[in-house]
Amino acid sequence: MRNFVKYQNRQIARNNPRQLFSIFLVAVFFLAFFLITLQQIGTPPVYQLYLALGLLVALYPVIGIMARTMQLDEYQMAGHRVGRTFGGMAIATSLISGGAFITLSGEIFTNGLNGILWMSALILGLAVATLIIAPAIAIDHSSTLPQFLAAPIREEKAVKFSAKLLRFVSLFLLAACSLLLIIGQLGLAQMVSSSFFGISPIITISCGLLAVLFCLLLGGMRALTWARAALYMVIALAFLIPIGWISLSHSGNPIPHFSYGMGAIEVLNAFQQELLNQGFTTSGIFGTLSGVTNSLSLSEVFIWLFCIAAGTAAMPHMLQHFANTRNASNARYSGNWAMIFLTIILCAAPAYAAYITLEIYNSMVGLPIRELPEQAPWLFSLGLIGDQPLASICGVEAVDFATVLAACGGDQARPLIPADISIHSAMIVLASGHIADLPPLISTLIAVGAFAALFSTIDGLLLVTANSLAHDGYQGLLRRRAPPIAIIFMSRLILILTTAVAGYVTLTYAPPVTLLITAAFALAAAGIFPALIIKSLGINPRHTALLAGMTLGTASAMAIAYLALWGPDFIMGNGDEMALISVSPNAPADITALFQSGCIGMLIGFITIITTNLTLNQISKRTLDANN
Amino acid sequence: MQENARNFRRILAGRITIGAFICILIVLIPYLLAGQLNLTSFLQIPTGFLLAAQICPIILCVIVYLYSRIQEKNDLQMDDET
Repeated sequence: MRNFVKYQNRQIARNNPRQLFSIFLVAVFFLAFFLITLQQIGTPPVYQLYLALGLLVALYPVIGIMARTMQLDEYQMAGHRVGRTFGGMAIATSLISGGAFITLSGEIFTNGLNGILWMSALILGLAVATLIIAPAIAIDHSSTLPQFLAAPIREEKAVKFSAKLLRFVSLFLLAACSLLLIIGQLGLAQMVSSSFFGISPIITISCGLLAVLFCLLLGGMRALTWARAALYMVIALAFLIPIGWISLSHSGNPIPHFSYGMGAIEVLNAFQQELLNQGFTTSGIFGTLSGVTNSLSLSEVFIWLFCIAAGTAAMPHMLQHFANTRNASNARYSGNWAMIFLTIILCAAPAYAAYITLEIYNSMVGLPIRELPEQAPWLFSLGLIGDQPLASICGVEAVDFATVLAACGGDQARPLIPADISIHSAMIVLASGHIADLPPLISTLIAVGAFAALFSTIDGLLLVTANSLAHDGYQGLLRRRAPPIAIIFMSRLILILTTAVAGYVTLTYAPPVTLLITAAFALAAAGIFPALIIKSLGINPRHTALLAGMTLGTASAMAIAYLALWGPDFIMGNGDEMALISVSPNAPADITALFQSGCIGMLIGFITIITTNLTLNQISKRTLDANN
Repeated sequence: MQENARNFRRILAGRITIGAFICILIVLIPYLLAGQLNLTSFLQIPTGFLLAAQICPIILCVIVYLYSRIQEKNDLQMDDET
């Protein structure tokens, strides 16, 4: 009897995320206390970093063991028991990818408008998903996105060929989008770990993926939801504590979202005016913060916004969390919570850009070159990210003081001017602790947050891809009466294979990170978004119409992107393949071309679905009339 | 039957309202970001940043919350039916 009560209590603990979350929060506070103690006793920062990252990696297996399950409903859908707040946290974490954590502030720092567009479009995309797609998915009770799209229209007993084909096409698109994003995020993890933290990419990728794999193999979607809810707290603390600290020291206000105007931008504007009066030219960051710089034309702004928002709304790893909720109402509220959680973090990104710019100019502009090693030692400890230096002075990578001095003309007393300083956008968040001279513990916290953001996106993408391939590919298309245990086994097998392939591809080839992430958004916008919206609006389109829309939308987007990026170059070297799509001279050509192709594909997808559906309805009506 | 028709109309009206609001935001945000409207704020944050980074997300959160509250009854009813 006692054993039975113990078993019952254990079951309650395993099924009570609130209790587990409280335990996790207590653990985080103890960990923070432990790290502060380590710092006080003089442990080198690099050991603190390894310890903190090791604990982050250990978090995944612990959650996996606690959330372990052998039930199909729990493994694929978290038992439809995910609460509103936890669901919201999981959704927000799925959208705060490593890209958003590491590069969003930097994008605002270097390109102002482009960064803000990413930010606004992510939130807008989540709003569209919450308002239109989420309730429909929750009501349908489908396990995966392809199953939702290919759900029978009316009371159909036999599964039609068109439904099977639609399921196959949507499965292919889902897997393609997910793999592009997984490899993009892994590529970013690889770049950041080697260039900034000095950790071997093989160690980072293999340890991270093994931890994620262990967690997902045991607990599936249930473990993923718990892990994401827990990681949201880690990411939020890692993103907001440093900037809150900097904000407090500059403006006396610890809420950076509302202090950076008075606290940083006003000071920067005065600084800029002073430099202009002294005859210096100011460019770059001053331009982006004092007014929004505009490398994109107005039409390109719309295209970026539409494509990112549509791609976000159709992201399978985010939509899956809506399917895990109990009903439509819970799905909406989960989306609402996710918007609040996402807004809290993303809206601090402009503050990072503003305060770190101020810190850089305060500490470096006007400083004699000989004082650089003392005033900004962090400059000389950085490497390359990709093939670009993280920091360069007078046009050369800041490898050591002698190189910098030689590049600046050899005069040690010469003061630095804004044009001499160039900082890579990835530095803005990652190096904020060094730049603002915060305690080493804060830099460790930022590193943990960055890796948490990277792997919290990768885990969801891996699981959703594996579950969809097992559920829609294996069960839906090959073995309709497969027992639940066989589906779980197949899902786990595919998960291992997908993880291995993604890891191998990332480590073997150096993936073009920005291009892959942009391509994933464009593909989701062109291929999945139109079908999802039309299906969710309750119009009940025919499978053939959805199939036609998805295929044509994807094919046209891919064709346009291919021609624009790698099409026939009539005059070698002049880039006339871009002439197919006009891109503003200063806009990032590849990204803008991909977004344009995504938008054109999306438009073609909508038009094809609507016209095909109307035509088929007319034909069917005429046939019925003729038969009567 | 009448009840169903009324519910359907209510749902449709809600969707159209929200759709219109999103359309306005989609038009407004880039217009403001492109610097066509030059507003100033007491926070000294440039217009584009202020609207895109602070005001619009908050407005969207409120709209989604209000819509969720309005639809809650319908959602529960539909859930019972299914």
